[in-house]
Parts: sequence; C-alpha cells; structure tokens
Amino acid sequence: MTIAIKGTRNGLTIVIPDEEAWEQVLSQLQAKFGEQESFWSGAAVLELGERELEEEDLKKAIALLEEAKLGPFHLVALHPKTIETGARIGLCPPSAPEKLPTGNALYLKGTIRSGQVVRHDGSIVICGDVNAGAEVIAGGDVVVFGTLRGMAHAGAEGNEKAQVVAVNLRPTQIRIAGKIARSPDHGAPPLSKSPEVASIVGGDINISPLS
Amino acid sequence: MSRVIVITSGKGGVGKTTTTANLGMALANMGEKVALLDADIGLRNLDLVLGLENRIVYDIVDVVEERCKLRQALIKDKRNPNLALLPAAQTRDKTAVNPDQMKKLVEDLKEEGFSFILIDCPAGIEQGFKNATAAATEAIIVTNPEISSVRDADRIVGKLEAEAELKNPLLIVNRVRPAMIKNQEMMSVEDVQEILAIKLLGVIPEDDCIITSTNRGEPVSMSETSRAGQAYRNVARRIRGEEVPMLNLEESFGFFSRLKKLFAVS
Repeated sequence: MTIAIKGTRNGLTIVIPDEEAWEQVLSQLQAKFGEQESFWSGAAVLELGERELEEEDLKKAIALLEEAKLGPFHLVALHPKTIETGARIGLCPPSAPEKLPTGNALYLKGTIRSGQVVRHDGSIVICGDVNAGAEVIAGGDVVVFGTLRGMAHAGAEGNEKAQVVAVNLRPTQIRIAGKIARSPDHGAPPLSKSPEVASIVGGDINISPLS
Repeated sequence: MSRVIVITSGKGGVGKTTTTANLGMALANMGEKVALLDADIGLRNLDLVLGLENRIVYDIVDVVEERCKLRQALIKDKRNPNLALLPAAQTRDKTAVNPDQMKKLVEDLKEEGFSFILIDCPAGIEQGFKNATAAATEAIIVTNPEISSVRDADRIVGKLEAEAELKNPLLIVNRVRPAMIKNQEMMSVEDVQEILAIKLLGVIPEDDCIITSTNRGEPVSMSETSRAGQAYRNVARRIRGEEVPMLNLEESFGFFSRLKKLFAVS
C-alpha cells in the first residue's frame, strides 16, 4: 500500500494507509513531494485513518510537506489520541462542508390560507399567495411567487444562510434559523414594486430587493 | 385574588372578542394587571383586535404541550404593560386543549399575579365552549338586541348554570341602536332583560368607531370620543365594583337625530 494523493475542495488530500510503517510513509512522502519542489502548493489535508501517532512523528511529516510549499494543514484522523496530538500542534479537521437542505424542493400551486401549515425539510416554492395566519416552514429557502402575508420560516433547522423570497413581501413575521423579525406596528411598509429577499446580514434579518 | 371571567355568547359575531379586548384594555388602564386568554383555537382574532398579531411566537397550545413556558407565550401589550395576551393557536383546533389543561393554565396565570383573567370564548357550545368555561368563576354574556342572539344567549345561560356551575352570569347588550328602539324596530334592552332575566352589566351602543379601531388594532376603549369606548370603560368600572349609571342612550339618539336633521336640511 502506498499513500494516495487526491485533489478535493479542501485542498490536496493525502491519504495515508494504516498498514504502512511510519518510516515508510515518511520516505514515500519524501519521494512524492521532495523531488517536484514547485509542483505542489496550497492547503493540504492529511488523512490518517486509525493510526495512532506521537507528536514527534506527526511533526516530521508536516515539516516535510512544508518544505514542499504545502500548507496550511488540516487533519482527518479517527484515533482519539491522534486527534488530540493534531490539535496540540494546531491541526484541526477541515471545516465541514456547508450542509445543504436535503431532499427536493416542495412545489405548491395555489393559496396557502390562514391556519394552514406547509412544512418541508428542503426548500419550499409556492406559486400563489401565503395569507396571514398561514405558516410556511422550510429547512431551506422559502420562495413565494405571489404575496407573502403570513409567517415564513426559512432554515428552520438552523441554516442561517437560508432566505425568504417573495414577489410581494408583506409578512406578519419572518424567521430565519433562530432569528425572528416582525412587520412594523404603524402603517404598512411602502409596497415594493419588485421582488424582495429576506436574509440574515450581520446577525439580523434584513430585507433587500432581489437582484 | 384573581378573578377569572369568561366572555361568551353562544352565537358568533355579537362582539365577544371586541368586548374582551376593550374590557381588558379598560381594566389595564385603571391599573389592574390583566391577562387575556384567547380560547378560540383555530379561529383566533383577539390578537388582531389588539394589534399584536405580528408578535406571536408561541401560543396556548405550545404552552399546554410544553413546547414553551407560559411567560414566553404571554405577549405584553405595546401600549399598556399591565395587559398581556395569551394567543390561541391558528393551525390547530378546539380539541388541541381539554378542560383540565385549561384549569391548569389559568392556575398558572393566577400565579403570575394577574388580578383579572378574561377568557374569550369561541362561538358554539362544543369543546371550545367547554374549554373556555372550565376554569372561569364568573361569566359575562354578550348579546345583540335581536331574537337569534338572545335565543342563543338564553341557551348559554342554561348551560352555564347546569354544566359549568357558573351561576349569576352578567349581561352586556351590544350594538344597541336607540333610534331603532324608539321606532320599535329593534328589541329594547328591557325586552332582552325580560327574556334572559340576568343582571345587566352594560349597554354598548352601535358605533362605527368599532370597525376602524378593530382594523387598526386599537381597542375603542382607549378613545375618549367614542361612545362605545365610554360604555366599555363604564362596564370595566362596574366589574371593579363601582356604581356607574347606565349611559344615557337617548342622548346619543338626540345627537344622531340632530345630525340627521342637519343633513336633511342641506
């Protein structure tokens, strides 16, 4: 078994097989990266599997890769001790890829009326109006091709990147992840002639024209 | 000691919700700590009449099903901090709550230190009525001076006495039009009283202000100029034990007739 090198969205991923002795691994790394000095660069992820590693050993590998202009480094390990060792010298797992809403979008045609609730894990697209007293709760985005007068909750499972979009956005309330915004008390807001989008900007729900 | 009053009517559209909102606001403005409880699950309106719809996050069913604490669901009024609303759920129905849960809820409200707990009863005599009356110790019957609402009110008085053990309900005759009574086109307050034979708590004149104030979410009892608002404030004072004479409806009749004459001349 030899080490494998893959290009991923987190950078260069170096998969190190468990069976190989560490000395062997180091020499393989030396062979792959030591020679073609300028060929590699940028972030790299070390995948160590179940292997248990001492700090010294891990440092040797990192030093070797740094010489090949690689870095910063991330570590994917299964052994708790190795994870701990990695954390001690500043190696953490690459940030988990953004969790996208699961499942297909739910497409509905017609008016959602007071007292009705539409709930879906993914995004919800409604071709029609959502009246006051109705609730639309989506794991992903809420898109209304019509007037949104009721309550829309996007990113109901905590996705703060979720958005509420409506051709005519006049909601009682908008919720995105854990944030809540309500309509102003005095006087209806001026009716925007263009579609608007509500999203979290700087920790608050913000409404802007859909561009 | 808190007083728990259900506002009921049997028939729909006679003004239970309007009465609840106005009495609540009037009592709160007199310094009482008031909780309004909307028992009309599935057809909630009290929040609208009070202009608090956009503040609802949790409702009565969330409290009963323990998804939130009572305090989280209580909405403090934006004008008067003495007034709080526990909204109904819109997406459920009357079966979402049972009378025992209502009793527990009202006990919890009492512990929050409210001096008045007003329960807005739904129309009808089914589960919603049973829920709304279960925890109440006093009842206010709202009726209009016309035969069908008086008939339903009579049925309610009977049911309250027999099933809910609410003796001596008080009567509010709502939407009274003195001019029509004078022309013998409408039942008079005395006619209504004769049939129902319960103590009269107040007479509320028909008032266009109710429509605009409802649409704006501002109870008419906040308005100094509205006659209905004045009548509601008087009812609130009577509830607190004050002796307040009934509004002189003739006076309002005179005013309107004078207006009419004015238009007739021009």
